[in-house]
Amino acid sequence: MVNEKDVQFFGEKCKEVVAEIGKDVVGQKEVVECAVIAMIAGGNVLLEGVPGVGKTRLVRSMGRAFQLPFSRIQFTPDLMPADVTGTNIIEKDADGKNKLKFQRGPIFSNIILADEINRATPKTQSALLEAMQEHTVTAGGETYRLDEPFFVLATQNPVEQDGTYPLPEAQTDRFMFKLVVGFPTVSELNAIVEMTQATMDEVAKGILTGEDLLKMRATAQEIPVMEEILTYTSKLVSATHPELEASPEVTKKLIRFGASPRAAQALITAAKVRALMEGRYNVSYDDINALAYPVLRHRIKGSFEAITDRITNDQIISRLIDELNGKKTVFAVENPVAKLKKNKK
Amino acid sequence: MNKIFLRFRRKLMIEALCRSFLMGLLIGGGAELAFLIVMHLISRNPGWISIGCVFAVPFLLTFFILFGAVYFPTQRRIARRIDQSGLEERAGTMLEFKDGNSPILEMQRTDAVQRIQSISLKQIPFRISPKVGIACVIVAAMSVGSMFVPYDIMSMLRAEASSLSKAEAAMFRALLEALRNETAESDIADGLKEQLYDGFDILEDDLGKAEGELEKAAQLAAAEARVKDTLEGEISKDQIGPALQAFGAVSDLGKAMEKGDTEGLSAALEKMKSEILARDSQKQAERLTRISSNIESALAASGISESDRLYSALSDLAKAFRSSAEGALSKADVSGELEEAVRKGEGAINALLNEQNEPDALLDRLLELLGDAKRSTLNADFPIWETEAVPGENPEGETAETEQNPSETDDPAETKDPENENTDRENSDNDSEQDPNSSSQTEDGDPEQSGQSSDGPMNTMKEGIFDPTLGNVEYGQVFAAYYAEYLASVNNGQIPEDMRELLEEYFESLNN
Repeated sequence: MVNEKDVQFFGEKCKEVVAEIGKDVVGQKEVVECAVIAMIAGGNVLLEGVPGVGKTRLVRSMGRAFQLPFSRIQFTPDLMPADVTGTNIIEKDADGKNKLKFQRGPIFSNIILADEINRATPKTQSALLEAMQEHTVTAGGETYRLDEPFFVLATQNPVEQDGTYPLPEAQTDRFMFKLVVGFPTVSELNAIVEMTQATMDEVAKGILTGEDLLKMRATAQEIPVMEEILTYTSKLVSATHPELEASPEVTKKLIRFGASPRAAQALITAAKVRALMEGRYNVSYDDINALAYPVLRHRIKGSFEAITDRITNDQIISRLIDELNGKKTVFAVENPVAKLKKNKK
Repeated sequence: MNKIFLRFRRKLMIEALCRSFLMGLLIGGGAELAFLIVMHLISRNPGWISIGCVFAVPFLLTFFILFGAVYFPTQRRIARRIDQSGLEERAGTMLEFKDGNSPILEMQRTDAVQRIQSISLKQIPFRISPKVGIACVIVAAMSVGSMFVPYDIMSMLRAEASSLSKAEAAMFRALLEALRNETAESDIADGLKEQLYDGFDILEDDLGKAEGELEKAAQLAAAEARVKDTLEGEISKDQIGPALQAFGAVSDLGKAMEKGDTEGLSAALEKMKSEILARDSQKQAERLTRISSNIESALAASGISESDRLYSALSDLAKAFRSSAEGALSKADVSGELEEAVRKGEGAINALLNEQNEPDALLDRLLELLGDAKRSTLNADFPIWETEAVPGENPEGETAETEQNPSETDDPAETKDPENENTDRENSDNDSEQDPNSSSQTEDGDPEQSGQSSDGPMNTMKEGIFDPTLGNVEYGQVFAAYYAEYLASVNNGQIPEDMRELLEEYFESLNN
């Protein structure tokens, strides 16, 4: 049973972890908070950003703060699934007989940094599927359980698309959040430069253990969620499906396919953590709305119209939230063709 | 839980009452407004009780339904309102998990109660939509206003919409009133009055539907024709009188008859009697025979049915004259017999003339009223069409010609009747006694050849629109008559559709 101490511990540790990671990662507060939420909620995170914005550093810093074993796998086109999961090797036993022994791959760790995940072939990317969802690895007909807590923090570069393999939907769906790491502001950049002059190493101290993390996860699971909020969440996820009749017009127009039920699960799980982090003992609409962006942005696919009109997934999500709350919004982004015509006139 | 929510409940109860009341007012007012609009459309005053019921029933239904089912502050609604003031679903969660015993739920409750207690009532403002308030005021104003609008406003609006100007509408109203009053005051049969009233109703409808001056004038012309059709059937003297005038021996009789002049008729008969008695028996017989023949010929030429009483009276007079003629031939003294025949005839004819004078006078008055209205509609500034300018169609012209060449007119009866051939010379003598102003008489005395009976469109106009003896006709009247003919032809399908527009444009251009 969760008691007041656990809740207090949760709140304090969360603040400390965020503060500690903040020592290594300048700015990106929202990204850090969401990454911590995902870690506590037990979800995997896909970090997207241009090179050099601190994605890998964030992951390394998190590994230090959570004091968990950390593996980094640099995904390249020639990386094979066995390079990730491990393989059976022939080994002589005490009697001198040959026998197969499973040599564990780098995935057997608590925190996995899958760096530039989209550079590996789909075959290798798929090697992560089982590990990410079931936290197990199957090799040579035998299934090996991964240590808990287990997280995959993958990074990808949205710009250099040559020689990359976009993640399949089944893969992206297994990431709880997709966090977009933006370019730092000038002041943040100053701070980054200044900080890294002394040392390039991460300085975050260990705040939590794996055990603490599991305890915190259990605490968060206890947070009550109103029926209305559950319904709202389900409605929001359903609203991303253009094939449903009840979906709003914006969905039918701008979305090719919508989010899976995993999205609703992820929303509620993450919302519970967020609520506790904010010192609340219940989930609010604000939690759902705030987390809808990292949870849904990689789970919906924009239609051709959305792509040509340069409407981002975040804008679509914003519009969906407004629709559900009875508000009318107009996209700030103007259709470039219409804009061109207007200018000509 | 109730204790926590109590202070909010009171406020939200007042809000619920106010919102239900306003919505009730809106719906009730809307229903009442719709009801009043319908009543105005059908020009019916529903009375205050009906209006009250139409308002009260929807108002009460809306009030109770909304208050009970939508706005009543249940715990859940109160919790939702509290959460909306910045409590982030604490109150709602607390309410939903009020029966849970886990430590985290207890912590949640404690947290929620603390936060709820920190909320003041001011943080939960009355949520009454200004739009509903404004709508209520507008509906109420319109409902109240429409109660004071006259219920026959639609008739007035219809009159406006039927393109009648106010002056025109007033003129037509006055015309119709005058027509109905004249008819009501006249001493004609009730059946005739009903027929005339029906015609006036048709005219009222037609004027309401008519667009433009032309159509209105045409409808007035059509009304003239209807009035004539109705009344002229009762006035046989107008046909018999002119027919008699075509025969020199009975010309005076015809004139007096046409005018409805009983004294003139008595004088004419007296004169006739004196002339006859002043002659010898042979001539008396000839004269009486001629007079009776002339009367019979005129009656036949008049086209009046034998069942007409004036026809019968004249026919009886002719027979009496013929009987006296037979007596005179046998050298008997016919003065007494003649005296008796004239007295009887005079009495009968004068009585019938008196009967026919009333519809005749009414016809004149009604035609005058309709003619005036038609002239006003078509604008009195129209040029005058001098009928002399149209040779061959001007009856006055023919009259002038007759006057310039006054010749002895033969009695047509004599021409047709071989028995009377030997009396031609005497006829000439007698004809010289005729009034030289008997313009309708032709040289050979045949009424069919006279201008009055000329065929063609002008004939229609003559009978329906203008009096040929006036010498000139207003252009507007002629125009209206032609336009009325055109409309009648369109109605009868005599004009091909592709020609109608062209003709319409033609009349428009003439009118402009």
